[in-house]
Amino acid sequence: MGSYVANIDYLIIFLYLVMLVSIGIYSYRRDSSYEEFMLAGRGMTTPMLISTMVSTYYGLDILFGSSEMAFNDGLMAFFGYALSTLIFYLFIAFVMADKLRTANFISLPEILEKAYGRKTSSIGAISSMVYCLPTTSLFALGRVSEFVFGIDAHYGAFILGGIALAYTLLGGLKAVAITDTIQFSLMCITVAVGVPLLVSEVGGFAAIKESVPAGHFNLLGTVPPWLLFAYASSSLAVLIDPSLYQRIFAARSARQARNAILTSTAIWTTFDWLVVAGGIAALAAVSTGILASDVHPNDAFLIAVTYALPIGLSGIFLAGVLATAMSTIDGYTLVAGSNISYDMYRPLIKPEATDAELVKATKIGIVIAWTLGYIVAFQFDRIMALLIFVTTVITSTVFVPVLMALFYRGRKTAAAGLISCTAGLISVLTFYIGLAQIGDYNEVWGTYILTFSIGEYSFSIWQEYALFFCLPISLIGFFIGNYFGESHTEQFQNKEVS
Amino acid sequence: MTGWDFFTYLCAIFLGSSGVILLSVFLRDSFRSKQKESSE
Repeated sequence: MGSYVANIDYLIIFLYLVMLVSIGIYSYRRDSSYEEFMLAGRGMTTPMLISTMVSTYYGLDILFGSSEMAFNDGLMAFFGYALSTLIFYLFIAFVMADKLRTANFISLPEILEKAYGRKTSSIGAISSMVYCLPTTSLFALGRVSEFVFGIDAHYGAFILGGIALAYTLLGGLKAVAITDTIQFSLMCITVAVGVPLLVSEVGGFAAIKESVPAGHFNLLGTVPPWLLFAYASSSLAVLIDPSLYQRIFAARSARQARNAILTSTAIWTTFDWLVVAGGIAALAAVSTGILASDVHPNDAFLIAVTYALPIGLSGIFLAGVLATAMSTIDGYTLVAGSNISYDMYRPLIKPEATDAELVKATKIGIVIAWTLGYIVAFQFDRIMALLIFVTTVITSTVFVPVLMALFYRGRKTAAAGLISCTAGLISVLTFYIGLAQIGDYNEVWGTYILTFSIGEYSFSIWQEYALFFCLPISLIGFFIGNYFGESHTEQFQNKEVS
Repeated sequence: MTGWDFFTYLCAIFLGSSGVILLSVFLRDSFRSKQKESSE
């Protein structure tokens, strides 16, 4: 990797890191209120809102994951996987954004608190916090710093992740949004230049088709259909993504939130395609001997684009790649910190906490979340398995109660939320632990699979199928709980937040 | 040039211009709000 990076590229990366810290210092306000710290005073401009939405969701796990999938399986990475997520974003823009923004919420667990009470919101806050721990981003950041700077992954993640932590602590969402805007622009421009250069370097798609396996141009690839369906279902998590919710709450109006999501979706689509095209072109570059044959599929996109870009732009691209991880770390750590302060400390320990105390508790929460994320990041060999597990946990736990809170017009009892959350959580843990005990580990797919026969038919249950079982259990739990207790429903429309 | 090449270039143009437009609008807004702050 080092041979593709010139000294001027390293200088650009260094200047970029200095700029991030400076923005944190610039955004620092000693007397900022909680709403100002967490939601930038609900006064973000549209470009900032779009940038912070796009860059927070688009982390290195997705950058590496999509390009790796494209390298291994071809166009399926776009048509079988990425497009389902994008469809859910359209649903959020047209159906959910208006409800979420008009109700003036501050966090996702607050929706649960208003609809079902504090017990349910506490479970929601824990799920949200676990989901928002910056585990995968810190892991990926360590990996990037290993092959860009040649430093140990632990130190790389600590230093670069520490910079993201510093400016988040100093400036809150405002600093996060400003850095995200710059980070996002850098990434867009360099990917937009780098991928077409890489594609022409390998002779265009006509030549790529000749040098990669024929199955790579099959739109849905060669992955088992149920697994493809399970991957697509895991995209349901975007409908309850706490960080995306925070951006919607931070918008000036519901209309601004909807327009920002629609623009972001168009950007995500083009970005996803370019990453997938880059992954396939990287495989062609390896097949034709342009790149070394021992390139890891995870790193292929990064190495190939750096190879294709001229000196100077490579530095901006690598800075953009670091930015991709840092913008995810800052965004999610901020939300995890607020789950600890606003959704746990405030309702359970100090209901009369002042604004200043909440900001202080959030900053402590941010440090706790970052530290937990750092510790967990290096405990797992297969970080994608952890990512899918965490996504499944939050979806199984809060998907049904949150969507019912927003869309179900009938009465809602505290027991409905509590049983739905708890049943979802217990079922997903039982499913994962149970399958690891009675299933067989498959080295090729890196997951546990239980195979059994009924009569002459053979069936396989993968760990990735957890949602197919846990979501219905959570839904049944909701309706069972709804028969008990008194209604806890509050009207969300035009509610003022105290 | 195949359809895939064309789609790739189209996406690149859209993404690149989105980056440039968002950055310039953001810088313009920041400059204006800074001016407004200093005049107050």
